[in-house]
Amino acid sequence: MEQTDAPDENPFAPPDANLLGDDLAEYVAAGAVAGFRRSTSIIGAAIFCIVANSVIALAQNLWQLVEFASAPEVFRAPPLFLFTVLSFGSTGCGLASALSLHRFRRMLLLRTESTAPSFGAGVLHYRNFWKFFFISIACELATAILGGLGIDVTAPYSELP
Amino acid sequence: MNPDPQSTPSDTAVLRTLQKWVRNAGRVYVCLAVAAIAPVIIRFHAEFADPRYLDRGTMIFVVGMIAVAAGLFVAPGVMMLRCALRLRRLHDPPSRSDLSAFLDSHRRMWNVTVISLIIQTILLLISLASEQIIAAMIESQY
Repeated sequence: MEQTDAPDENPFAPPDANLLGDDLAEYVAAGAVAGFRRSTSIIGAAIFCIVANSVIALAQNLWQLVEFASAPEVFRAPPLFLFTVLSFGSTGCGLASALSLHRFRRMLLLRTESTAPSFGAGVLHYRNFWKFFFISIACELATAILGGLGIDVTAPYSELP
Repeated sequence: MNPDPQSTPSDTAVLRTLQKWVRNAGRVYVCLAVAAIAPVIIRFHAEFADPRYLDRGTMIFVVGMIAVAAGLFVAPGVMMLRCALRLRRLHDPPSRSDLSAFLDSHRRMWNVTVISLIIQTILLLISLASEQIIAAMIESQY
């Protein structure tokens, strides 16, 4: 059964003075896993927020898409096409990042200090999370810059050229 | 079977693969703050070039917008950049103090990011609700 939260443990208890080489690396890896495990609750909250954020944004995008669907020719207008790509890219990558973060969190909950040296695969999930998260917020930034330049990508189709 | 230590990256090396993406995400967050604040300042600078037109409500709105953008985007961005810096300082194998500093900064970054995400979600909900309300009002008028 999955643990609900990280136990209260001290990842930085003093190491045995005789630890050397691989043993020291294992000790450090165990400390890293234990340290990460202290963040599992907040990471869980982050997953919830990212999913909620993406689902609401997706609903908003779909709503606008339904409104625009009455005039398919407007999709040829570059601003609207760009808006569609950016908004769906942002929500899609947001959901993908939440999935990667969930996998990383599950790895943290299942791993124990004794299996700590093999936590590399879990950290790769975490790296994937950061990649997707970066792409997601980069799409948001692009939308914000377009808005700042005065290109109203969400303008009603009647106002588009 | 023991993995070949020459071909298997160490845990520190695996951890450090995060650095680039955490740093990039931090930079984008800081840019987002600039992208959110700049149009507000430019618009109000153009509309209220004469300080006599700047009433208290407008000033509160502008300062409020800047504070919200700073809180929403600058704070998590700076925490991510700090976390990336701590990752860069990890040697192989890392010292306990470096690892401890990284994990502390990582935890603080997540606390700030989650607060920012919660506020963003609430603002998104408000914006979605207000759009529907405005649409319903326009529909009822015509």
